[in-house]
Amino acid sequence: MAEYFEMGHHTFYVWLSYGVSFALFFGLAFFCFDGRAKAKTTTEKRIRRLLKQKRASK
Amino acid sequence: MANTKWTWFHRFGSPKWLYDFAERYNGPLFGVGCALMLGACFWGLFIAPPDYQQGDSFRIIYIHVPTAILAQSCYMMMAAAALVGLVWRMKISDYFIACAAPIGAVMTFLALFTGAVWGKPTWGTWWVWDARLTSMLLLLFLYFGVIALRSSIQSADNRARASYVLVLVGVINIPIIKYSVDWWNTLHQPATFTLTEKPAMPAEMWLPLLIMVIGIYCFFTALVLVRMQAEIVQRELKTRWVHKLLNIEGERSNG
Repeated sequence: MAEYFEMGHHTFYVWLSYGVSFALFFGLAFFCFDGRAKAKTTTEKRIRRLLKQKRASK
Repeated sequence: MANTKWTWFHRFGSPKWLYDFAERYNGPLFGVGCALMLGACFWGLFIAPPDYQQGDSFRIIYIHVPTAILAQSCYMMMAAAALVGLVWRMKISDYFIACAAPIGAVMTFLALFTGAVWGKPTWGTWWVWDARLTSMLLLLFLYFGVIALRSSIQSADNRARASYVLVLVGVINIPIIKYSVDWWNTLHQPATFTLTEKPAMPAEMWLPLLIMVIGIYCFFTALVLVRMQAEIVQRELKTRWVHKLLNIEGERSNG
């Protein structure tokens, strides 16, 4: 089993590539989904603030 | 007749329609993309045979080639969006460029990074100022340029127009990347996949690569749709449907 992970003499190069790539894929996915949730929350707050200002000015 | 023919295209111009479309498809696309990518990587790492010359270091191909293909096609999609934005003035084009550019930049960085890591055991060096590598680095700078330009302009209209022009000027780099290995004597090998020829490697080596390419496209599409949903909600905050979506319809009618 261990020889599968050794990748010949290229353990460092192969696993470094896959490790960095999957870390970035994961980070990118988190950044996108979290960004959407945050965008909804901030927009909701912004709309409520705008409506409050509108009501106050009336 | 002409009207019905173009209805599907016009629908993409509606932020509400696109938001609902994204809501429906981003989950399944993300799931399929992740499953295909994980499956292809497992196949490529543990089942595909080692290369007779490069040994196991060739397995980096399953990350390097899909990210490089996606980096270039993402820029092409941005260029198509820029053209649509300039000609038809669809605001969705601007949203697409805003959402796709950071993902394209990450893919270009990964293509360069994995290429450098693969280059060390294969060529004996991490980097050479080879035509392919240099033009890919230029692509990364183009993505950075689009992101920086967009964040430096306040007016939405000016920002959109400036990024359309920059994206369209930069598209000249794509054929240079593609044909650099044919036009110049480079250290980089020619294309692994072509549309007209059968791959030189055996099926057990190219099938996981093909699956990885399909998976990464699904992953990319899902993430762009998610980012576009965020962009649409922020930019369409004055519309009634966004108010309804965020459950503030009642307060709006009261106010």
